[in-house]
Amino acid sequence: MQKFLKSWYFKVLCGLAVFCVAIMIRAAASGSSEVFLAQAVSVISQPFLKFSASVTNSVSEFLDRFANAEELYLENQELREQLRQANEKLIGAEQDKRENEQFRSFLGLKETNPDYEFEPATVIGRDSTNRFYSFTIDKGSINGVEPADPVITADGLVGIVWEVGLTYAHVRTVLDISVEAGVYDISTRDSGIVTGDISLSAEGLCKLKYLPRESGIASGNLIVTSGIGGVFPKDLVVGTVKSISVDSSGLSLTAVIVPAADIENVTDVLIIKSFNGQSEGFSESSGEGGETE
Amino acid sequence: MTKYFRRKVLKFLTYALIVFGAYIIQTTPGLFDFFGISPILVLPACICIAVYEGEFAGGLFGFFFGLFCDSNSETVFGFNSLLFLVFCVFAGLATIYIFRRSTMNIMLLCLGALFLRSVLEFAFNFILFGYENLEPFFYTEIAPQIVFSAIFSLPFCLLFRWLHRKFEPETTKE
Repeated sequence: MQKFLKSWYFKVLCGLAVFCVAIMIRAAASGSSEVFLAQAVSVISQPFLKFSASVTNSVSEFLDRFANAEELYLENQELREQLRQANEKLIGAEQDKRENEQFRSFLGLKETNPDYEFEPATVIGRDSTNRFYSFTIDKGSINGVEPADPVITADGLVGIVWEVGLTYAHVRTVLDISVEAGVYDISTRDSGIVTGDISLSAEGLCKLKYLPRESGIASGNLIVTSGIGGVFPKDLVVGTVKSISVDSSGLSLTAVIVPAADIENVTDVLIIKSFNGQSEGFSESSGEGGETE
Repeated sequence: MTKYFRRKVLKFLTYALIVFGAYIIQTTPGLFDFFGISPILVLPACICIAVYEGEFAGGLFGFFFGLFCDSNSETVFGFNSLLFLVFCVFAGLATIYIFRRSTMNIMLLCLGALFLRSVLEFAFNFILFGYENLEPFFYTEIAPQIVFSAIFSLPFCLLFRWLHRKFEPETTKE
């Protein structure tokens, strides 16, 4: 042991350890991993991750056709039944038609929101140690992506760009406890904050807190972004209400939200690079977007 | 370049490719996901290298591939790199001074390293921030990942042992 402690091996290893501590302090002080070393490592690994992700997606899509044949058949039957019921309801139901148009307007984001500037991106990596389904996408600052840009799919809000490298960006999802989004219930107009919850994130759910105690919110209500704070544009679909309970303080209600987007399995996303009323970067005072690191 | 040196370079290049492959598998979404749990593969692989090739080679592998893990992680950049370096150096020294180089001991070393890494990450990312409901979260999310990752130390142990024996007898002959 004494021999090892006196060897140059030991000195080199100590040097590397000190170097690690230094870059940790540098990264912690700057509040991001945008150090040169992180960029360099990402440049090396990104092509391999991209290739691996595309191969995995192709193979799993191919296998899913066989593995989920029965499930797809049942889903098909169920959807046929739903379609039949929907057709019946649509006949002469003006209210349903109006609602349908409203849902269409949420989905047809580009048509209804010409101010949105989109950047399509592919999920190329997920941190296996992260509990909130954060992921890495293949677009970075050279594509005009910036921290705090909203990330969505056609189904709804996924999360927010947290850190940006040259050719990649880390995205935190709405299941993350550090991400907060100002939202409102389109039926009751009650507003609150959607954020992640440690126990709910494992089930792919998030929570809506600070709802007024007298709120008439009910299960199945649609929750959309309020746009206050300028981090997320107004009226992005977040999800639907699953259950409601009284907050531990007894002063407000908390609802469990089922995100509209399939956050756990998302492979392709859209980044909204700009929209009318967008503020720059993260802001603590906005009460929306996320904690400032 | 001597044949001995060439063989040594080839050996470490093979090791690096395996660990890099483990990193790609660990990071690619949906590739190695069992019941929602993805194993940590890089750390057991680096520890196996430390056990068979010594604390210096293991430490260097731990440092470099820790940086790769850091580049795709939510933790502070350098966190994985520092821990992997320390764990690999300890594993290398432990097999020289304390433990026998048996499969069970290597698996226990991997389990210990994975446990410490996860507990430290849990402490810095969750406990320090005072979040609620942390206990069930640890038992249902983090503990299964530790056990699941430790299971993968067995194939790595067997693979690196085989590679070590394949390269080592000829290098020692020269």
